[in-house]
Amino acid sequence: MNDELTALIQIDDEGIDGAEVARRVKENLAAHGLDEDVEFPQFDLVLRREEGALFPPALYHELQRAAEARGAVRVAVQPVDSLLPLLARLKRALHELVAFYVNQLADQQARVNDAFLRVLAGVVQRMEPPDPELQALRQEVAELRARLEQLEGKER
Amino acid sequence: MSRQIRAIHQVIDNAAPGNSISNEAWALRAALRAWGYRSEILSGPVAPALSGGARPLGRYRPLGRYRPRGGDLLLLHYSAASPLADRVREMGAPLVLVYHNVTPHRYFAQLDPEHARRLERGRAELPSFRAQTLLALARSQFSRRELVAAGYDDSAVVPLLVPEQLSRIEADPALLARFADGATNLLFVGRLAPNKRQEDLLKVLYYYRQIEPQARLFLVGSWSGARRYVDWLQDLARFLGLSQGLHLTGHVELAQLAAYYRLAHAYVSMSEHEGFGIPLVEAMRLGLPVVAYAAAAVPETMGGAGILVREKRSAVVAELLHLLRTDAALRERIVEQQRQQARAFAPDVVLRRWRQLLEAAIEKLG
Repeated sequence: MNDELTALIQIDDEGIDGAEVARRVKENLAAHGLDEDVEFPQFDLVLRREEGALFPPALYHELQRAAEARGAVRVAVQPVDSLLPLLARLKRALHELVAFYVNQLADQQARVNDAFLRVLAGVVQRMEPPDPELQALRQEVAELRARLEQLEGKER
Repeated sequence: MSRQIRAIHQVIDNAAPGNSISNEAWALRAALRAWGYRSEILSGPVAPALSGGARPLGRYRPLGRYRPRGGDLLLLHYSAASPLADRVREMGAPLVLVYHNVTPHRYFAQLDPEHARRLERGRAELPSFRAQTLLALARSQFSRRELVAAGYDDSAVVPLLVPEQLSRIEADPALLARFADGATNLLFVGRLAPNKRQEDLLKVLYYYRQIEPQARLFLVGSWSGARRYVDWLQDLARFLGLSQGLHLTGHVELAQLAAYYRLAHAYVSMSEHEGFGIPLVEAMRLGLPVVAYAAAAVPETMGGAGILVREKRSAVVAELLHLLRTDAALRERIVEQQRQQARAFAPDVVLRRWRQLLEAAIEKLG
């Protein structure tokens, strides 16, 4: 793992021992008990599967459309024309006031849309068979990690 | 000064407070005038905040009212397709194209499809200014490679002009008093946007707070156009139990920005797309150790200083930040290297480069 971290951490200053920094990071990771395998939510929804998808392409297309439209609910104040400048300013101020309150509701609606879509996309993703290419890559990474740890063990 | 070119006007799309392009355009306008050129800033929409602030609306000239004259040279700041860029192309006037890079549209596909389309079009239309361009300038070698790929063989690099006022201005005392309590403060400065990956910084904070539960993360930057991303970040913070440690400030004034830099113990960036990296320069100038993901123009801006990570492993980044917090000798060494690197971006150095490049281009014009 030391070599892995040395390759990951880039310190170009020759006055700093990069390998030593990597060693201390590794030591502290263990001491603090940080679990690197936590799965965090992602902002972008995973919606498309090119091959081997369980559902017909139309469903992914609609999901994509819904994802793009889910936040587009705010309203913008349009330019206000009037022959009298004072009246135009007054009308614009009124429009802005209305837009302010409407957009508060719109933001709430966008959050609800987002939450529903995340649930839906999550369910679809769970039901999909695992992507074979990704599966193979994960397997390869796991094997390489195991091999590296074995080699490090021998060195010690 | 050339006899042929008497005026160099800059064209910027959105004049907005805190926007790096607006800031640069302003500083450059002063320099161009000092070098003897007439110079105005021609803009599209101007943010309402500027109309009453330090940069009144009246000081920008709408491009629609501009008619090119014989001795004029336009300097187009380009970062996306816009009606303004279309108008400059239609005019066909001699041009210096200043390429700030175009964020890959995929980052905005779900957040703001309209903006994503502008970005996609912006990249596709980059070659369309070639016929009128005297000189194409990129802000980094990373961006210059894109210019060359778009057919701008005669291109050069000039870094973004980063004014030095942050080190001179008095930091907001209320903020200093509120957060200078000994807890570790991590900082990232930049518009809230999916390409800047503020969500990955939350993951770093998640691990850092397992090492030091009182640690904070300041995400300083405008929320404009990213409301849904901000909402999602706040939800994510709640989900991870980080609400107490996350401080989303929105757009801040200069005195507040100076305070956040003063309060921070390290600057951390997980951004995946930067055409340059102004906050990295500011952090280096202000003596803040930097840990950053090595993407786009970030390694070039850092120039071998700071600590870069080639892969996003949030727990490792958290440990690196902790090491910088606890090992004074390591921190000092990193900060010293960074200060040396920051000198490459001193305004007088950058302006000299600007002048040299502009004069060479004008000379070629004959």
